[in-house]
Amino acid sequence: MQEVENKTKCAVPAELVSFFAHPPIRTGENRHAYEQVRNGVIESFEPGNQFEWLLVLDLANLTWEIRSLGKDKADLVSLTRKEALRMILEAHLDDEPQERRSTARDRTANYVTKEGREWVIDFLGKHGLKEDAIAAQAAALRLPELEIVDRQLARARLSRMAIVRDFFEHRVAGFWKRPDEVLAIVDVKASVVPLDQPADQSTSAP
Amino acid sequence: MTTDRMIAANRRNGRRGRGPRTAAGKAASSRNSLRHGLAISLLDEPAACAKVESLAQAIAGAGADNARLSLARIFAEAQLDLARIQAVKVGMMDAHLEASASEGTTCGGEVTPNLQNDEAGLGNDDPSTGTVPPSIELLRQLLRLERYESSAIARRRRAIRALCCAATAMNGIG
Repeated sequence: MQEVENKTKCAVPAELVSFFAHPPIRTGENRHAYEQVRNGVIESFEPGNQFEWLLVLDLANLTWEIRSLGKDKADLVSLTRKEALRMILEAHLDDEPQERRSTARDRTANYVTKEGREWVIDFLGKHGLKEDAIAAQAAALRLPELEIVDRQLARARLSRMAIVRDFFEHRVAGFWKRPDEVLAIVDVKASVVPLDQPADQSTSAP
Repeated sequence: MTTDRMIAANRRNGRRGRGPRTAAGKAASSRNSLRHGLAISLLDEPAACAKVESLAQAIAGAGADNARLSLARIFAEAQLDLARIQAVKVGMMDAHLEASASEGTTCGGEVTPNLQNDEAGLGNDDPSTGTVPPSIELLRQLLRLERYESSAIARRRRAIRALCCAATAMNGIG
């Protein structure tokens, strides 16, 4: 029952559906997860008119973009881990250059196994390093890409903040509420305020 | 020295390379330098123009006056511009994914003990697609779209401000 109610609340108005037929979901990304994010944003802001709907859907898209960019960063580092580990091993192994290269390659390939990983942790420990050094090296190798993704992330976060500001500014301004609508709201709110003074106060009043 | 044979060959080649002659060929070549089409205003395309108008009407609501409608139009145009930019971005990412998949550079199934690929919680609908981080070329291309995005955001923001000012004045708030 609650779910049905939430679905109704999160349904995009019919006249706006065509404008949001293509959400920013890349191939392979989870559409269901996107919808969850979008519905979460809609529930938090409870858009009241078309204008608010547009801003809220934009917010949802930016939230999704921020998460996608975060995943891009993780993927960039993950994909470079092997290369980073190979470089660290090659720099710290004591063998001859040729042998060092092939040992580093083999050990890197074995890193995905339990024993291989234990060997790597042990080896790094002997050189005063932790496993995090691999991620750090991978990040250093992908610095130009990570810098651009960070810039995109910063821009998306700023845009999101600006939209939130606009959204509340619009609510304060009473945007599409005509004076008569505003007065109707004022009247409804005023009607719950008791006009008669409490008896004890009226008696004590001069 | 240029021989008669060379001159005849040059003339023959010159006759061949004069660009497209048919209407279809001309139409195709006119799109040669088109990259993403974001520099073209939405209002230059009749279909997009109609979309702007219908969105503006939806935002302004029934019985809106001309001032409100024209501000809503600016807002709608910027909003649809942003949607267009977003679609181009997703298209570029998808094209990159497709190209990477055909080259076999995805890292699906690779064990990453220290860093979870899925830590952003985005999941993956299609496990066959694997993980493809953006390349530096793609990121630079995406960065070039920023100016279109910034411009659309600024236009939309100005429209919102103007709409809010108009609403404040109309409602006598503030």
